[in-house]
Amino acid sequence: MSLFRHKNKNRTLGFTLVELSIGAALLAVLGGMIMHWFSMQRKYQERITQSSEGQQNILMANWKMSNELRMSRSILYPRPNSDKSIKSDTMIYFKNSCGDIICYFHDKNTLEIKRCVIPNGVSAPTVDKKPIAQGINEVFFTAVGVENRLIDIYTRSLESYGLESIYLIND
Amino acid sequence: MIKMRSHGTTLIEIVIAIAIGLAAIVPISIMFSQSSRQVTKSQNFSFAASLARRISQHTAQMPFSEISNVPLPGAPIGGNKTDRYFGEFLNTGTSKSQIKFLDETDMPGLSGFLKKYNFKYSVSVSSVTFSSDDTVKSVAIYIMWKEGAKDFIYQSHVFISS
Repeated sequence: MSLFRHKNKNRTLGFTLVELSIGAALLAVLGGMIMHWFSMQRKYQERITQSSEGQQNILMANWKMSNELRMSRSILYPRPNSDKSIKSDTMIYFKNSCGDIICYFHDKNTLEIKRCVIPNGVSAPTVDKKPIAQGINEVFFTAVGVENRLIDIYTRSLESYGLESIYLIND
Repeated sequence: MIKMRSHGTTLIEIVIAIAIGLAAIVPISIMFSQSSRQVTKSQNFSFAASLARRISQHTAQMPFSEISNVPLPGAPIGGNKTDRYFGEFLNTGTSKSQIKFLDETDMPGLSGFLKKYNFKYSVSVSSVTFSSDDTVKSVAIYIMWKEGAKDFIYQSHVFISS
């Protein structure tokens, strides 16, 4: 009787192998579900951040470029093709309001839009230290319309897209 | 009996613990999905603003007589190769045959984005004549799109003088 009591007492204090196994299995299932949920939320958050950043990159790029382009004297390149079809390129050359020749170009390696000043004489172009925009995956400048006064800019940053058209207001 | 209960965990205790866990997880989950929706909304609003700006800038350089209505419910952006604002999109080549259009074949990414949110535009033109050679066209540009079942609209105005 005393032995039976002793056994019974032990059972109330400890766990059997079956109980431990069930507990571990439950814990694994619950832990797995929670981990999966957390990883989903993390991916979700990354997408939100990327989308927001991409959008901001495009807005900043378009704002900076349109400020100078709108007031520029003329667009030197790209120009419509000889058959009057539109022409696109990843760079644009134009004469700004001060008469300097400026180039915006896309650097595929750094994913930046850079600005450089092209001198009139024989010397190397000077690239601005600070890029116009960062995190830009694609950019195309398209010459449209008569007198080459309308430029369409298409930009892509991650999964965000931007369209901008600039009509030169300077006569 | 009392001693045994103090060492174990009852079903009610487990249920309460799960309920507390869920009560903490569900608001976090909702918070994430709400911020995602906010980002999508602001992304689409800024895209709509850029579309409206594109139309307004193209309108500014169009011949005055050619500025005409695009009636509601609006023309879908992309897909239509003769669209005056979005018809011809890119051309990195040197001839007309190399033109890329805003469709699934030429621009799959952007075309997919436009289709996903069903972006459309409509242009409402009203003329105001001050004298025989002084007419102003008031152009209202509407950009419409869908996020789930909800409709969105962005409106912009541009005035073009003769």
